[in-house]
Amino acid sequence: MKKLVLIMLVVLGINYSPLLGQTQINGYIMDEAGKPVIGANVYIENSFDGASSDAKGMFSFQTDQTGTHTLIASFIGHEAVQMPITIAGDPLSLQMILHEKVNEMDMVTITAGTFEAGGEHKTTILKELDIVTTAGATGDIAGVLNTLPGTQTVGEEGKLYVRGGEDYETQTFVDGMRVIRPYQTTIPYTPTRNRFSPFMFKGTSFSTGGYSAEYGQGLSSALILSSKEKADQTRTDFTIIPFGAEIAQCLATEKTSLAGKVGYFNMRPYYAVVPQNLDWIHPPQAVDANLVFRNKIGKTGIIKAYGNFTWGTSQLYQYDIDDPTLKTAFQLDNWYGYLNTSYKNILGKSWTYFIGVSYAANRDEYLFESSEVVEKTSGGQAKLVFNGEISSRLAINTGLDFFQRDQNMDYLDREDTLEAGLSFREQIPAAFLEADFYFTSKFMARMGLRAEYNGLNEMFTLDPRLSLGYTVGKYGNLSFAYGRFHQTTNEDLLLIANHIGNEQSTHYILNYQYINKGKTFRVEGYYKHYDDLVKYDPLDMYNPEGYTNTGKGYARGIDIFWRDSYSTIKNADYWISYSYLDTERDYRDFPGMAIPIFASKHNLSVAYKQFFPKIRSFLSATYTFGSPRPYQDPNADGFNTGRTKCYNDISASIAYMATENIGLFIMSTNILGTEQIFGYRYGNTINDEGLYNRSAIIPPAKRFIIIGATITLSKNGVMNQLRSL
Amino acid sequence: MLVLVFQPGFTIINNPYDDAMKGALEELNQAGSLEDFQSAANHFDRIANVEKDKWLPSYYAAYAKVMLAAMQQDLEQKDPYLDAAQENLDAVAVIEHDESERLALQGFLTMIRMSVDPARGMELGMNCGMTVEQAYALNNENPRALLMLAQFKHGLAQYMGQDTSEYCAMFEEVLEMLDQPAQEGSDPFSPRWGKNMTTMLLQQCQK
Repeated sequence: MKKLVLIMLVVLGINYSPLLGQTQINGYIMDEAGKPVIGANVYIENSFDGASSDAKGMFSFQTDQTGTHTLIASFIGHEAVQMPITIAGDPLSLQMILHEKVNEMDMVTITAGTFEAGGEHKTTILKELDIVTTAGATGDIAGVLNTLPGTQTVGEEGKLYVRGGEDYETQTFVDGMRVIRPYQTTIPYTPTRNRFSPFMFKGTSFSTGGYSAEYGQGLSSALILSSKEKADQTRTDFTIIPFGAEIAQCLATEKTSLAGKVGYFNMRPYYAVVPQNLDWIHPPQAVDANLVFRNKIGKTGIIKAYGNFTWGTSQLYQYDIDDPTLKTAFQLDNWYGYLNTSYKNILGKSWTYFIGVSYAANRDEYLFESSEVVEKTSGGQAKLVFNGEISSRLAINTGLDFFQRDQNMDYLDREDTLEAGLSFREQIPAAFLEADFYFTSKFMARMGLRAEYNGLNEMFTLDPRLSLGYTVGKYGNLSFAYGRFHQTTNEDLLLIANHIGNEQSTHYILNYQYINKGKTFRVEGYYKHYDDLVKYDPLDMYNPEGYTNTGKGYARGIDIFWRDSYSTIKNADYWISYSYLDTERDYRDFPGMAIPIFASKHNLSVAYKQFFPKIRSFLSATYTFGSPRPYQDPNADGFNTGRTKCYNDISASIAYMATENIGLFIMSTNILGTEQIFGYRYGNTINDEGLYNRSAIIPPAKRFIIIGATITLSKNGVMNQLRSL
Repeated sequence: MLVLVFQPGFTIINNPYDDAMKGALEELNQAGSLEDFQSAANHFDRIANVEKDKWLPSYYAAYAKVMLAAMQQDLEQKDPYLDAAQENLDAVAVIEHDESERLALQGFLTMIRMSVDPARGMELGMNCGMTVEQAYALNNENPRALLMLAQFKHGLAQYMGQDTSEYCAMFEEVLEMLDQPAQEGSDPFSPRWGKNMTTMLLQQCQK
């Protein structure tokens, strides 16, 4: 019957077309080069009437429309073309030219200074899973970024040190807003971790320089984390490791999702088995809770909230360098809360807007035997951003933000009597405007300007940023970036010298990147110039009058990156990063230009991952090398003239999928047990031999080993349902 | 038949949407070559441009484009088609539609995307698995959801060197479901595809 109806329709169509007054429209579709476009869609706007162009680029159809209409031709990867036509019964013969679309996959981008991780960006260097599958990173965002070129291994800190910049020169942003205290507070000279769980983010953009005018207050680098739009699915995960357990629950409906994670960790049982270099009284204990909320509002709006709470405590003995038989107890307690809420929606046809606010509060208590130091930080950022695509060639990103933080440091005796206190309140209103302009699909420019006013030092700054991108061949991209950056100095110094001026840096970066079928090659040269760095007299460091903005410095070098993902070796993925860094600065208490203690000339990382599908196992190994780092040796002439030995580390991990729901893993840092020395600390008095005693800064343990299990319970239970089929 | 031809009123009763959908579906069902699928995709796009509150035109446009991508020999040609299909599917998501069908097609799209570059397997695989599981969880009577789920699990089992017979049995199940007549009163244009693909997969199973 169906067939019969169709035949009838065909017959009817043919018979009646002349009677209904149909008009024949035909023509030819070609591209810029005059070649026929095959398969273009040609149709009359607001009607079903149209056809596809054939192998010769010809099209032909009939319409019963009359009068003035718009004829549209479109094709994948090309700009749609419109043409006004008047239909009056006479056949029309037309010719249309389609132009290749700017804004497609081949489009030029800015790659200078930027590493994209996760997300759908075509310039993605790291994938979302890399953070959790890279050995040695121990699931830490900063840990995996430290395997990229441009970073330095500073093992006693565990923070990001970018291109000769100190750790405070890297600013962390979550959903566009600056985060106060992104790292956990730890005992001095023990490595910290980023507070944010890598599972909460869909994309990470790590800039090693020349970043967007949307962000400020980072002299060297910006780490921009975007939280997930929607939780994966309703599921529960349990993770059990020898020193703690974690439970993650995710509830998802079509519009709303809520994901939470709570963990409790206590290092005591672990330290009882694995020998430690530190003399713990109470090994670290911590509670960590995360909450992510997403709700779609209407068809296009989305509201996000992200919260984090951590509490930690630990106590150990610290040994006197001058007299190692003397030891004093030292305790560290920390509370941290963070909340970030944002709303995003479209505005008209081509604009989107974003409103966000974030707040963080941190309290560190350092308890010594006879005194106590309490450090409180709180504050956050409010931000309004508009994004618009003015045309296919011009995109605008503009907005306002306001940052505020209060910092307070109190020195108390053990009876909680205040002996001294330092504090500051910093307020920074800012505005930015940035335009992406595509001259052609091969050549673009990003021009930005950021204006900031710092309420503390009453300085107004205007920072220009400029990037140019040019595609080279089919897979290559050449880009250049220039930018000026301002930042208030390190908070420890700001507490003393509240009104000290901003520090400044200028970046010049030239980058070439090639990405094709799982292979990525990247080489980048840069020059960074520092001005107005804070200097003070080491003998009078508590006198704010002695602080000046007379320091300066530079960093220059080459970063090389190569990655081959599953394309040459079956089921294997590896990358190699190499950085060459030449840097010197004259700042803080430096007597003149010198290499800072965190800078090593050569850094190399090799990360290798292999999946063994037959035995359902995943092996990951990472080798890290750092050339000698300087240290200040009071027994030698000159400043920062000491050199540590090279840093070498091989970390490895194996994960095994026991069943679909249970995963087992084991990982270890420094499997070879190589001696790692990050620097030396010296005593204050000269010993019998006329020298200062020293103590090496080493990792808290030779190796960090974790054996654990993850259990996933998915509510869908599809497998069970399948069996009942 | 002659009688009907002499009743010109007949064609006027049919609404233009139904006519257009019938024509486009016919074109899609008979499509064999890349050009045929492109033409069918264009046809559905034309309908979708007018009928903005109906999900099926965009859905079929997406399906035709995923098929185009799957059939393309040149790996680099696949992504642009998949991007275009994704645009159609995104349009479906914001209007009233059958979520199980949308997710099943989304899973199909992601599987083709994975085939372009093995480096995508790790990340997209998880994503794809969750999409097809959800498609099936929403409606376990949707043969395309089961097809995509079975195809995903079959591929995974093959990769992991495991027994695939469980999934081959699922393909049989899909065929049975596809052979059942459409429910009374259901949309005459609701998705019916999947038979050719399932038959092909079953042939692979028997090798």
